[in-house]
Amino acid sequence: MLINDQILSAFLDDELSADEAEQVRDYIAEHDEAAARLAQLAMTDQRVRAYVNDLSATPMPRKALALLDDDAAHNVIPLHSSRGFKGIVQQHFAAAASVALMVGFGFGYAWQSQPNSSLQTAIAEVLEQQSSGTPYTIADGKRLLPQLTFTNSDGEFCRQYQLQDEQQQTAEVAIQCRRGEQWQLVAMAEVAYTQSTEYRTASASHALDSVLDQMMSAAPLSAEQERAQLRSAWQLTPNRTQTEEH
Amino acid sequence: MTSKELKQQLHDILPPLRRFAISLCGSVSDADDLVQSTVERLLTRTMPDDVELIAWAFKVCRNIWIDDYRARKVREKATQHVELQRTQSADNEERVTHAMQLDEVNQALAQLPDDQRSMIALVAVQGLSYREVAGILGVPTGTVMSRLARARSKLAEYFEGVSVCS
Repeated sequence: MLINDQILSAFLDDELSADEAEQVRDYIAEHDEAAARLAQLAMTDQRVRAYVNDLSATPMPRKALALLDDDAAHNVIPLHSSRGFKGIVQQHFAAAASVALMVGFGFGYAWQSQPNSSLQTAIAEVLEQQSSGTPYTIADGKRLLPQLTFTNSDGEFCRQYQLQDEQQQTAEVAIQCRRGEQWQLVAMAEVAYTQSTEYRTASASHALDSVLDQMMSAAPLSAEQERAQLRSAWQLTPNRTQTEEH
Repeated sequence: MTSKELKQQLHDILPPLRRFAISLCGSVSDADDLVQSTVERLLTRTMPDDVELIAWAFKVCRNIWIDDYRARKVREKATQHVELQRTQSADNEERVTHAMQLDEVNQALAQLPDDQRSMIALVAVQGLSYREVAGILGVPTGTVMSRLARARSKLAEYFEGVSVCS
């Protein structure tokens, strides 16, 4: 058998028969240059692997992960704290989305499509008491999915949620903030209504990313922090040791 | 397989799939885009019955790479730098050396033809057997062996050439 690069390469991969492998071992024992060549080929593998390992040691692509999350518990938006929450924002508006944004948090703002008071009461109840990641049915065919909780620069608690109306076939993503004891609508985007859970989660969730980016003062609350706030009726001081990332 | 099962299995193979994409693309952002496209396609197309999911996923990934990414990619010039992620080194000189090493491998891989690069990605990085690779790519095992050997030889040549000059 001729001992060439091909044979040495197959030897490296343990793809030779026992006999052939034995022949290679014998040959290498006798011939330094073959041994050196084998080492060199092994080294190239090693360098490529190290390179891939290095590049792989970065957060997994979250959009791909979002496509695969079927579990309601993972319907929160996974924001990578290692990258920081600012700057992860990409313009990701669904074609049908339009953002209606509250301008000014003070008095006298005009809001075009404010939820009627009974709907708002129902929404507020969920935001006040329920964890992110589970959808809740609130009156006739409407499902509310709280997605994440964060504090804004005024120290107020805010939550993003999706609201899907199965009767009307409409859907929206919105943010409300807790002022005093009241939840108030701050931003909303209409998004494409879809039956498909995965695509709704993956693309619609990000319609308000640019708004989040401006509002957030720190990374969103973890599930545990959120539970603590829910239990305490939002009375705990926002935890300043949460990673504040720039 | 139900949609939920498929997603769970895809979730499990996401790390090796991503490594494969990185091996092919040479940058994390390109690789992540490739992973995204691959997952989308895997979710929407039916998988053949007689094939393992990971083999199918690699096949789909590689096909997308060849169609979409390689066609767009401009031949890397000597000055192009690989996207550097955070390294463990605190020392600046170490960091620079490390960056140069990564860059070198990136250049070395970039000069391989597609079919050889795929071989390196599947065997040297992923550790698949020749038979598995033959199944994924639809080529004889003899072809796997010869292409892989050429790929390694070409890489070795590149590294040798670089070290002689520096």
